[in-house]
Amino acid sequence: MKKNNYLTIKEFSTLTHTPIDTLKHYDRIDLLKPAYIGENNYRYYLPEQAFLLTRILFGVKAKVLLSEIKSIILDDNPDKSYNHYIHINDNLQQMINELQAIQGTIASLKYYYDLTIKNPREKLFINYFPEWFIICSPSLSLNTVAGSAESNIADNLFIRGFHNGMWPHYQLGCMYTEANIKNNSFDNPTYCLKVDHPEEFNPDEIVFVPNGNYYCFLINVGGKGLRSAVNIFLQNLAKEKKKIQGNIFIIDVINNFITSTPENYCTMIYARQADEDK
Amino acid sequence: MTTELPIAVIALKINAQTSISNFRRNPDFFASFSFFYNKLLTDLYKHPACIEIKQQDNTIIILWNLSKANAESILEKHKTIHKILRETNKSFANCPINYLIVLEAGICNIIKLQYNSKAPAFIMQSDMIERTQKVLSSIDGAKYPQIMFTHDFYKLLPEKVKAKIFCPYYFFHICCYSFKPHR
Repeated sequence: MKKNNYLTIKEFSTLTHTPIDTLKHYDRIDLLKPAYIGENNYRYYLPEQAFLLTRILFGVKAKVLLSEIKSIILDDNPDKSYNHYIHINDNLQQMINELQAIQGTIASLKYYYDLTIKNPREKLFINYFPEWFIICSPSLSLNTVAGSAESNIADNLFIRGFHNGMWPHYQLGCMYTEANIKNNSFDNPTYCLKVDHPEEFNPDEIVFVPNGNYYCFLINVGGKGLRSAVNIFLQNLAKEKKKIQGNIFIIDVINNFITSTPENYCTMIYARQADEDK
Repeated sequence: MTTELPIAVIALKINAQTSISNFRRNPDFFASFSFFYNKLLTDLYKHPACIEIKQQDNTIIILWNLSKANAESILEKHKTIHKILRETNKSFANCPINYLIVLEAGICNIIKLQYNSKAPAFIMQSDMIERTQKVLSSIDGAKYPQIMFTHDFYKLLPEKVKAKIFCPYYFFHICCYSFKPHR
């Protein structure tokens, strides 16, 4: 028989804005037992159980495991509970940092995607890029078979980009040095990784890339190969009598995060405008 | 009339306990800050390369003429600031002040609207101050060193100074360097 101050699971669910299935699950795992179970096996709750549910939901919102919530709730030692909350706070801060970094990556993807919309392919345009720090691999042969030394080094660079064991938010690219450009040898590119936490690397490894106006060139490399793509970029520069200085950088601006179709796949080749060109 | 001038910026951010509760200001802060700021003005304006010192909220911006002083001597000024601060903290122990410094350099424009006017020239600092403030907001925590140089300032330093320092940092697309952290 239902007592007067008991609430049915539906009423308790409405009162606490919590789905019935969730309440049933909390009952099954002994996190929030109903105050009374009727002869018909119906669950009945007391309004004051909403306070306990609030604590549980607070833990859920704070991304704490249900088993952990149980131990926090059952723990009578306030010092221990307080330490739990400090730990939860640290985890949340880490999550916030991670989410902000993911937002940064998406913003970067959007920035480069916008470049492909605003500018026609295989035509030079000027864009301002801020300064950055990179780390570089040794120069590698383009003739190496995929999966061998070349991709290993790319993988190693990629993995080194992890910060605090989290997603690297990288910009992995490839570059040709001034010496490569001078000797017209485009067989051995160097891989480079933009780093957001240079303090974690040996300062001797870090290379500074200056800010300024860059001549950019969007191209579908598919089928052409990197060598011929860079040659087309240099021919375009020569045709328009533009001069560059420093390294030539190559990055994939529409990668498989955005598209899985090879025809949309697009690469940007860019190099800094020479001072005399300004 | 517009001319170009190489300048350096020292951006100084003060951290102190300005309130003693949600509703009450810290009475020692005003005295402590006034002492510190007056001393800073007196000591730094003496230098012939010092163009301007301005303060807004907890940030003090000091502009230096790089054609009258080199980057190394401007870098040394952080020791003067530190000395003044130590003196202030000794006198006002109830309200200790901490600081963060960012040094930036670049070319700015000086605009004189009326050449013969006695009014001071208007100095366009391009985005130098915004850049220092971005870095200041990033290093505002125990994780980073107290002093930071942007790449534009770093490249002006002589090799012997560069060799002594530097640990690279990257904030909001701004490349910075600092002394190696003690921690």
